[in-house]
Amino acid sequence: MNRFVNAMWRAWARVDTWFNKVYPQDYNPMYYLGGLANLLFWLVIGSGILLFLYYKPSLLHAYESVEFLTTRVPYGQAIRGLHRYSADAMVVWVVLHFLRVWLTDRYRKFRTIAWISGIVLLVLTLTVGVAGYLLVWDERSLLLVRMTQWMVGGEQSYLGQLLVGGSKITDATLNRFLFFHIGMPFLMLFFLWMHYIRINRPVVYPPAPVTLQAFGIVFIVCGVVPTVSMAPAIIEVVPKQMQIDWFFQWGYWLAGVFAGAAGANSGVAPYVVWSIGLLLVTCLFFALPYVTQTGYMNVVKVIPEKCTGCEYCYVDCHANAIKMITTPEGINSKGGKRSIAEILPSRCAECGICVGACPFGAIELPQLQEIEIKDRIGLIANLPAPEPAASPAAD
Amino acid sequence: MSEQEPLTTRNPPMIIGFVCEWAGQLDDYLQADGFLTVLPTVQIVKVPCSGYIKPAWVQEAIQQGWDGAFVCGCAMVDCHYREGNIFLRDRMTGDRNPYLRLKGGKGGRRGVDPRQVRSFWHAGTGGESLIRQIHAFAEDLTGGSVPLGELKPVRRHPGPVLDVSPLNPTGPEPEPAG
Repeated sequence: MNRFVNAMWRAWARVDTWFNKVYPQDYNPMYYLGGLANLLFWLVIGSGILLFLYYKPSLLHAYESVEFLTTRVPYGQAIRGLHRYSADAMVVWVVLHFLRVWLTDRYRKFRTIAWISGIVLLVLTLTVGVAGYLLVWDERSLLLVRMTQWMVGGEQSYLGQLLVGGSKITDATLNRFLFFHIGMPFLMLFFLWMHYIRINRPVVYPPAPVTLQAFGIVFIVCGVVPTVSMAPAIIEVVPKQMQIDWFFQWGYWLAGVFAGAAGANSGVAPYVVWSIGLLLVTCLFFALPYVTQTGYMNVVKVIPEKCTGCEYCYVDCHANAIKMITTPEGINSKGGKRSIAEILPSRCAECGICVGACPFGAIELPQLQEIEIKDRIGLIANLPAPEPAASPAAD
Repeated sequence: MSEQEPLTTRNPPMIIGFVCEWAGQLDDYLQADGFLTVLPTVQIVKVPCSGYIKPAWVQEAIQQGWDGAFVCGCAMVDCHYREGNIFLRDRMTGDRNPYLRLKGGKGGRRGVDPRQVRSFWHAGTGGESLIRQIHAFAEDLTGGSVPLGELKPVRRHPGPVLDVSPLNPTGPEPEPAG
């Protein structure tokens, strides 16, 4: 496993270096994957609100209203394309963000909460995206509904009925899908809050040049590849094939492959196969930070006698691992009334940024203390001095 | 600046470097006492993050007689601990407390000569390329050529952490000699 991560990391580092040749370091888009994903999330929400103004969630009018929006409303085609392609782009950046965080070893210890909430966000992103395809109510929507029902055990099973709200597809079904598509982003907002909560100064948005570039690419794709619906859905006729959107619907393809491979011979129900597979993969990624947990061996220590309560370390700590507390005596080492720093060990990254921030030497890494660094600097005293004969000759 | 006076008469010059474990992977080039194998007068102090480096150490090193000092961190924005390299960059240029006292800058006469101090920022692997930069720094300090040993590409994940796992909590076994 370590060897695999090492190999992937090396490949990633090469991509980074290549990007750094094209972009300045500060504006390298590979360093803003999460920020770009968040930016696109808001672009999707903005365009989605505009689409919602025209959408009618009923079997009779859904397809019609989408067509009206696309062909008759000024810039309707562009807004629809924006919604579609910025969602696609968001999936790309979310997955890249996930891979980068994993392969560069930024998911463990003090980052566990961000990792767990990130996995949930990834699953939610894909689910919300699929729910969006159901709303258009063309042949693809119907096929997706039928496939999902097949995956959860058939049309008449409990989950299959829960999905469409009864044993038959009715107007209420589309209302239900609309709720999935619009309600779940609110859940995403909650998990985004969890995603950022432990981070001091999270980079939520990329800088302006990166933002403009991302917007530009999405707008150009909107213009070049217009979004179109397939033929309207007729409930009795289940279509045989559709265009797969590989950003969102690869899960269906994968489920089909797994079920075909495992279920055909053994007689196991298809939904058993894919649901166990999905559960295993999700649990694996949930467990990853705990499996590779190495314990906290080098948590920084505050030396209370030296701490003046200046808050430099408190400001600089990126993991919110330092809090300022009032001293028992009510005064600090300088006799003032301000507080001193205290470390929250479970949040500590063991990076020593607070040590570098402290001008008073009041905070130390136990395994690399300042005295050791001073010893290394002092090595110069044991080494030969510059040759005296050479110094006048230099002038 | 037509004729740059060399900053030191020692050749090779004595250089001390504070290197972030994630940015510079110099393990293949390090001797037991912390000097490089390919540049035997360059002392490397490995630190967990470039944000850990105190500018006061750089100043103290120069005042104690090292000919040059450098710091090395990850590429801007890509710090493993998010902001350490940005803090250090600002401290080296005097924009953030506690800052490095530079001669002619905020440090006045007591500061160090800016030519004796350098910062390197590396994306991904900073093994071979970092040593080339150190070598160029050494040549700038002496004003002449400095011998350089043979380089080989780096093949390890940066940082100390991935070598330690629950199965092997103390890290990799040291290879037996011979």
